[in-house]
Amino acid sequence: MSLEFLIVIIAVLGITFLGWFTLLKNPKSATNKIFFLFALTLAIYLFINYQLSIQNDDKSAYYWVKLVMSIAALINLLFFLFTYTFPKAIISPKGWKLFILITWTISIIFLSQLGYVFTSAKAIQSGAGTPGPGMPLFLLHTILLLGGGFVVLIRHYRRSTGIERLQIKHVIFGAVLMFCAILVVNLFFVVVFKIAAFVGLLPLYILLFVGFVSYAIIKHRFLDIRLIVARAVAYIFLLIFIGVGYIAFLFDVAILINRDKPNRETVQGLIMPAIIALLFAISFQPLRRFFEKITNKFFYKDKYDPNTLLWDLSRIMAATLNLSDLSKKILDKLLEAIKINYGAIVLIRHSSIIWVGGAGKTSDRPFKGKDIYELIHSSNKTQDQKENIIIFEELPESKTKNTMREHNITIALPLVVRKELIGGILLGEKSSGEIYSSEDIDLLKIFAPEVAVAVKNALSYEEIKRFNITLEEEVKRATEKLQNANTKLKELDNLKDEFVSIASHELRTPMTAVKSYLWMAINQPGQTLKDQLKKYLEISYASTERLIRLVNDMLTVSRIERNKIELKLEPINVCDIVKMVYDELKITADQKHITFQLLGCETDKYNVNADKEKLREVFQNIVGNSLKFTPEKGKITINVTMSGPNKIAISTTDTGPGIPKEDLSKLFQKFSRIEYSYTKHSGTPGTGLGLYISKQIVGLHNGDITVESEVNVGTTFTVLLPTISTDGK
Amino acid sequence: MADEKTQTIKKILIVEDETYIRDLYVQILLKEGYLVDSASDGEEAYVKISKKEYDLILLDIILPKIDGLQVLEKLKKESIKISAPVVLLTNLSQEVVVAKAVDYGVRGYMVKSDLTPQDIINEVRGYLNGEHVRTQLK
Repeated sequence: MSLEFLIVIIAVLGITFLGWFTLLKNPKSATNKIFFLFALTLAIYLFINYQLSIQNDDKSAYYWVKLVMSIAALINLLFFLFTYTFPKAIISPKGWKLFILITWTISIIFLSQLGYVFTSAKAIQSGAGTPGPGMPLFLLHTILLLGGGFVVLIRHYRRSTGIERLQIKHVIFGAVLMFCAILVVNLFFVVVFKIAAFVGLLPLYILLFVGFVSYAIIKHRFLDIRLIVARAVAYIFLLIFIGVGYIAFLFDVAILINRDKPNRETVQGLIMPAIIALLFAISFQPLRRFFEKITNKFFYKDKYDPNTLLWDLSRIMAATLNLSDLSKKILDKLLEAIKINYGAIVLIRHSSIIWVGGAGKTSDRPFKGKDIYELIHSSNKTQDQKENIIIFEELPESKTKNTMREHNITIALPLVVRKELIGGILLGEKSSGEIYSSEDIDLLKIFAPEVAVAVKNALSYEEIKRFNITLEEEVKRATEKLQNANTKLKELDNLKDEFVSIASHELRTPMTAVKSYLWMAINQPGQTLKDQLKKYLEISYASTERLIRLVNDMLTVSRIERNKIELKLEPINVCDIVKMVYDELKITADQKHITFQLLGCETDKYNVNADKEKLREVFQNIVGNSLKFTPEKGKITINVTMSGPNKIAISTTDTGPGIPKEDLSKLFQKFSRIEYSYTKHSGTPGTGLGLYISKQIVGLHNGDITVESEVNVGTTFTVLLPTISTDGK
Repeated sequence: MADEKTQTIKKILIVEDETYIRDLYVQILLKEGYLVDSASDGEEAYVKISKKEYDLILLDIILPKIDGLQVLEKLKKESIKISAPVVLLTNLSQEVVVAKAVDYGVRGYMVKSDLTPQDIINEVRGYLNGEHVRTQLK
């Protein structure tokens, strides 16, 4: 077996495998399919090329040459198609372009087979034949398709982004590497240094290229190919190292034995032993693993896979937030896997143990004493985090060792989060009585910091939960307090309400007697009183009336100020109310010879949503005031108009004494007394509450009362009320 | 007064605890030609209302023993039909009790201190004749 053949076989197998592997990864993608064909064609090409090189007679050499040229044409086509399609899943170019490419290639293949590209060949110089008339056509095909393929790739590379760009980069890189290697070894070395020894390595370069492209196609789907490549490279190095070393050794031995100059036969004779040596080298690892597995089964029945265990533990820690659950689950898992008697997680804070969670046969040990606290502290003594573990067997006699003996603790691990010691893990003996293996210890050292973080998270979670509960209780308590306060206030309010009602009732009762009997005295039929006496009685009667009004007004004010006034709202024409008041007061006006007018109510309707009785009181008050202050033969005009699109203005203008500007603001206050007007012009003093009440009532109707006045000219009170449309809306 | 004699004489019950006021109302209504009966506390009123027939009952609210509204409540509970319309004649503010009063079928609400004896006579005549009066509840 020759070295060349070995290389070809390796390359052919490698290329075929890569092509096939790539196809398997995504059999539906056109890129993968074309690549598979391309790799297959390359493998065939290499094989045929090798066949050509070993031919002895010219005739068969010519046969292989023709085949080589045909396959080469196919390679050109597939390369171009590949560059055009890569890395899409659908083939391009399509339609007539694809048809022309295929027809062109087939015609080149025909030309090769019919002997137009090479007219003859010699067996000695492999592949070197006599170019025929079809050669330029073949060269054109090659240059256009291979060159075009590169152009397409580079153009595509410039336009693409992200993973696609990376993929194309790998393809270009592989191709450039291959061509460089071919150029350097097959041309540069041969032409400049006249060394042809490496020419036979050509199939390996092609294998390299195929490997790159295969990686480029698969990479984004299967990142582990990096691992495969890494392993493969490692194996190749191993092969080369052992192979070369072994061959060199054999070589030396052969020289020593033969005391002869080494020749081609010597080398070839060494190939078989070398391959066997390589096979041993390669099979060493898998065999070792296989036997290890068997022996482990025998000797370590309880052996666990640390990777799986760590993975399981991590999963538990990631999925569990509740501290008790977390501690229980991880300890159970750990105890079950390593076969430990018991385990406990102890949490400390401010130099005391705050929480203990145990699992397994703890024999009801509480793990809460000061000695445990000190043990955990001493486990965290060393600066090196990774070395923070106490193992009973390795500990010299000390207080700590005594503590461990007392509690039957074999291992103590600190739980540390950001350099803060939050607790520890305590583990008992193994149930088999064996000591902890270094593998166990390593696992525990990796495991402890993870537990620390998980426990810390669980602690924070518990704290938040507790805080939430406290907060809830606080809110509940505060709400209860508020509710109590509210109930008390309501009771007080009701009491006040009752008080005001009863008080006014008690005031009214004697006043009713006084008023009624005075009335009887004045209106005694068939009996004339002396003028003087009648005057006294009338004054008394009027005063009683005033007192009663005062009580009524105070009742109203009290209700207004405690928001107890309930309006009985109904849609009503404001003119109806004003007219009623007008008719009532007309008699008094006539008595005083006052020109009393009502304007604006002849035809129009002014609808408001109002409490009829309350508004009537308002107008009685306002118009009554005007009547009171307007001197005899004066004039009072009530005018109802619109003021703006949705406001009604009811203004009462009199020719009274007027109110000075500085007093206007006091008008609507409680018990406001405007000395100027009252002392001079008011015969029957009011309660001082009328305008205040009126303003409040109009306010409850979303309206307002305004006043304009000029001393010695008169006063205008305007009540503004919002309108509603006639349909009562 | 003359025309009233042609009709049957109307019977009125006045429930009022304040003697002076009760006497006054009895006096003026008698003068108007009505038959006037009176009660000075809630229990007496209850007994009289449940046993006798009237054409109008003037009922005070704040009364000794049981108050006016309780009298009405008791009568309602015992399903005793009141023979006459009831008008509350009181010094208590209307707002406080009016809702309850309407529930008991009270016809009107008169605040004593706001009315002169003549007003009372007018209102009573109105209620008896079924006319619309100022103190009537809707």
